[in-house]
Amino acid sequence: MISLAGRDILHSWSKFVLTGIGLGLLIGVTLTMAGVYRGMVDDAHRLLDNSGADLWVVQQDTQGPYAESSSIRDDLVRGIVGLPGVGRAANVTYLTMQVRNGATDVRAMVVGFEPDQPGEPSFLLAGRQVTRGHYEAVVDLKTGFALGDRIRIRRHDYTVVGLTQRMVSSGGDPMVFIPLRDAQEAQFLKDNDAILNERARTAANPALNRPGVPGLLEAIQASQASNHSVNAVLVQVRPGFVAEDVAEPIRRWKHLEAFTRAQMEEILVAKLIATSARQIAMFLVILAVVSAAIVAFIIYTMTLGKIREIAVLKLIGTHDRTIAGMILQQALGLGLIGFIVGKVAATFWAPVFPKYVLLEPADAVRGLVAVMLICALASTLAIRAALRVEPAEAIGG
Amino acid sequence: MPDLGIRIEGLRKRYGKGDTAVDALKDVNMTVAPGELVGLIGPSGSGKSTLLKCLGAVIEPTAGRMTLGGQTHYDNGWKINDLRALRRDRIGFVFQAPYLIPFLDVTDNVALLPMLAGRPNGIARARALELLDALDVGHRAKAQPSELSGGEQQRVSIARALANNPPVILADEPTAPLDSERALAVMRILEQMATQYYTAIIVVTHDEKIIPTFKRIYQIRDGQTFEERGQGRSL
Amino acid sequence: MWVKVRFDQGRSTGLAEGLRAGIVLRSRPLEPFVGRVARVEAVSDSVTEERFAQVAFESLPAGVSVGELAEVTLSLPRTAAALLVPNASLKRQGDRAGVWRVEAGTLHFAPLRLGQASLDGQVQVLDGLKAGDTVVVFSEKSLTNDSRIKVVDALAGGSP
Repeated sequence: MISLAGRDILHSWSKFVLTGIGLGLLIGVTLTMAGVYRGMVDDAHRLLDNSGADLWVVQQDTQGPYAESSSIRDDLVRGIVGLPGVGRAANVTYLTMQVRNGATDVRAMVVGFEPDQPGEPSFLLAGRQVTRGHYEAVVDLKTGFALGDRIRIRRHDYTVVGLTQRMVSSGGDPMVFIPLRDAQEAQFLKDNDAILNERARTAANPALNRPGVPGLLEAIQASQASNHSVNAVLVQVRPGFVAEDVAEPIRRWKHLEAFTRAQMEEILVAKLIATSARQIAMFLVILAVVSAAIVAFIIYTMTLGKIREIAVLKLIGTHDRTIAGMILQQALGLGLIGFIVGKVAATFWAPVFPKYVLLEPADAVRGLVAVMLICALASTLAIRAALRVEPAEAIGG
Repeated sequence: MPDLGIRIEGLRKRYGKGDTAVDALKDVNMTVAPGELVGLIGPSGSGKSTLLKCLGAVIEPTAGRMTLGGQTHYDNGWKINDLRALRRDRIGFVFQAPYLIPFLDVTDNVALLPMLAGRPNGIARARALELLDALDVGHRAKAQPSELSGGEQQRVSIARALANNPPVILADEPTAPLDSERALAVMRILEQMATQYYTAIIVVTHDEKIIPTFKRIYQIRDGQTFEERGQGRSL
Repeated sequence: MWVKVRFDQGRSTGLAEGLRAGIVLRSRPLEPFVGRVARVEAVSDSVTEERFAQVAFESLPAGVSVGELAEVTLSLPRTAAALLVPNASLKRQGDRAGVWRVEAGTLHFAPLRLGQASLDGQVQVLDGLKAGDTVVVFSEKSLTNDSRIKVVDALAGGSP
């Protein structure tokens, strides 16, 4: 027995292929959306991995430093280093801001780190780590900066000395690593106008500007201009200790919050990404419905165009199941073409997509199964029409 | 006469019930021997197409008996389950228009029925080629139906009707759209096929050009058939 | 006029009077000046963890104002010749610092004892490596003992 579906497809292959391409682009978008979700989860995992930390110590009652803003004094780290089980502990700051390179502006997460401590970039693609105390930076590839570029962050210019990759914030912004002091100044120090304003107000305040106390006003203004806050302390736990055991005393006695890796994952993936996940899920449902509608429509139209042949086939002795099988195979064939086009398209445009798209083989398999099921379902409309055809219609008069 | 070919006895087809019932066929009796070619002639409204549909096992008669190739498939009710298989294996159809499947080539159009009947593809195609050669269209075996002339397509459709070697072929107005020369050519082919493949052939027609050629004719009027001698003009 | 320079305590090894200094004024970033460390302050800042030194210009340029910002780089005296590794290759395992060595296609972590680091990113290796050892400098992600590696000439994004 030959394949009636196959022959029909070959006979009107251009219509089939064109529909397949259209369907394929839809499927490609669907796969990409799923990839965006996977990419977001992967971004979150990498963020936690790359920090090199086992514990994140942040402001009490906050879920920072990534999901929420957290601000703590930068001398707290000394108290943490001394706790049992703490191997290394270091201050870090995180701030998402615009970084300028020449005429272009890039949105990046500026990370303030201490050299040789948790928080520094854990591997480099090119260049070197920061050696100077100020005004050098290591950047992620995604910023588009190159070694040697002079980039501007707030008030200062930094030279790019090292490149890394896949260092991104949970929102997908590339990271720029600069010395902690510079980052603190960028984050917590205000711009010139605000500073002048602040100074003028302080000077106008008779309680602070006392002629009888020389040096008081200057001391106050100096303290206002200082920046002694960080967003978090990253802690590495000594071998042999459990992170939760080290976190407990920090929470209880230090009036701080401490999150283990598992807890940070929960915060990032379950909470931060949850809204996006819902949006993507809705998108997927809509795309699935649209794809089903397209397949149903095309197969139905193709079947209606064959009504006379179907009547003749039934009359000369073709069983309903053979005819239904032909239609079903055509729908599945259309789905297969669409899936292949979609998978190829998604693979092609994934690297160029603004957000990180992670295409997993398991998702592709699931996508294929879903496409096949949708096509089978969509073909039922046409199959019902075909089965209703009366063989007697082929006999005129 | 041996019980091959086709035999219809007392066939009745009633539409509707009670007072509004209409008997499209009242009492039809026909016998056609293998190798015989008869005409079935009647005006529209005479029950001709109803009879054709009953003969083709497309609609169910109300009463009577139908025997085909020695097997009674209807006796006041269907005696077999699979009507599609009956039509596929035991009845050949020739229509007014060729109605070839456009996405199959000529050979596969003819080989389709044997393949559906379960024959291996090679054997089915060999049978198809044999028929196509007998009908003088063997040289078009690999062509698409759209590439053939009307007459060639008609011959291919006759080959298709013969593909499963059915005991009877029903031809519904096969010469209606043709001119006299072509019409007579088709009749010649049908006669030749009837003899060569030992098939009974019933040609339903009102084409004046070919009526004189039948040796035997069944007239149908008001749902009843009347047998007549035909003129039997040679082709 | 002196430049009051702040040095991070952790990086101020070798800070001494008399060291040569390169001075770049914020108002004239393209014009480097030369100077020397005139005095190292005895009192440091424990909050910012910084030490202070006063740097004098060799010849004071005209038009310099008090309160202006400057960037000062000190040249430390030469150290003895030693094996050097780029600082990009330095990684930590637990609390040990070292590098990933490639031997017969497999990765091993080699703990090192390190010496001075230079501004251009080279670090002295006092113990733990021999000349000729192959060390991983750049990688596409963090390495572990089981990472599968392929050695290439250059990674995307930069010259080696």
